[in-house]
Amino acid sequence: MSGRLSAILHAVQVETWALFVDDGVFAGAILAWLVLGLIGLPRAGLPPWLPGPLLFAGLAVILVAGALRACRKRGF
Amino acid sequence: MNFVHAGPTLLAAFLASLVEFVEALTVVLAVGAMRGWAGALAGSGGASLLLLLLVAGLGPLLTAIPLAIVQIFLGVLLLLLGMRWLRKAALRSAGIIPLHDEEALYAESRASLAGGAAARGIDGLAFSTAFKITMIEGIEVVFIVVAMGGAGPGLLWPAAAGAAAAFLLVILLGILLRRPVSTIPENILKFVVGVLLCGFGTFWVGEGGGIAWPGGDLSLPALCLGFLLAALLSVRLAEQRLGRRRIAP
Repeated sequence: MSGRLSAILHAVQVETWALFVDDGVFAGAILAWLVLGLIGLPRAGLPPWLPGPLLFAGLAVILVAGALRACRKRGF
Repeated sequence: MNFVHAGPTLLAAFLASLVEFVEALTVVLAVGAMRGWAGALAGSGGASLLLLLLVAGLGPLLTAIPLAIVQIFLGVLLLLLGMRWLRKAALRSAGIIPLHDEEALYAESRASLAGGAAARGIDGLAFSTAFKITMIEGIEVVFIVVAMGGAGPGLLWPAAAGAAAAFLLVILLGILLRRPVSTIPENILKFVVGVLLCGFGTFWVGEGGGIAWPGGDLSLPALCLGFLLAALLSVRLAEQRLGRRRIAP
């Protein structure tokens, strides 16, 4: 029973990690842009309305690039 | 709390929970049919109770942390989850990866549980299989409820209500159909939920980081629309890649 319990705990742990990260490069790009955006954009001397849309634009580019990268990885 | 936040929070929690509960229901139905209902229901019920305690513990815990830190932390996690869902849904829509098939999962689960007579009373294999799948799918629901509900004041109730409504609907479908719910357009649901999670995640991260959103709360629907367009562009580009590959010698 303890073997079965540790197998369940291990599966839950693996699935919880996979909930957020199934492609390290994709997740890393999101985190890197968020760090850069939160630290750099408010200090870049931009008009106050611009940092928000730029934060979004970076994420949108990462999404599209991530989808194309996944296509390449699958041979398309 | 206002409807701009509460409405999409309830909707996102409902749709995301629906997807996860349907997946859990498929396996629990297979377990019940193959190994007996006592073990299947006890395992699933035990895991549900544990998950409920997790929500009850995590929700109030978040109120003790400064709101800006909670918004950044939960916003980042929402973005990691939402972008992953959205990219996967786009790849499935384009035909790059296959669609999720509940009937195949049901047949696979039944085959893996066949062999050996079920024990009298609560079957150990039935209990552990039902417990495991409910925990795995339920953890996602707990995260979404806590993340959507914890990042704004008064949003935990709409998020919990959305998840509870999905839970009741899936239980009802399970009792009525006694078969996997394969007619739900899962990929479209994941697409919609991914868009909502990304919109909220970006909004919370910006708010927590002191970025002023043009139009205030009204920028939230604009963010969701922006992510929808980016995802549709991903589908289009992926389809072009697929088409180019199909006509290549």
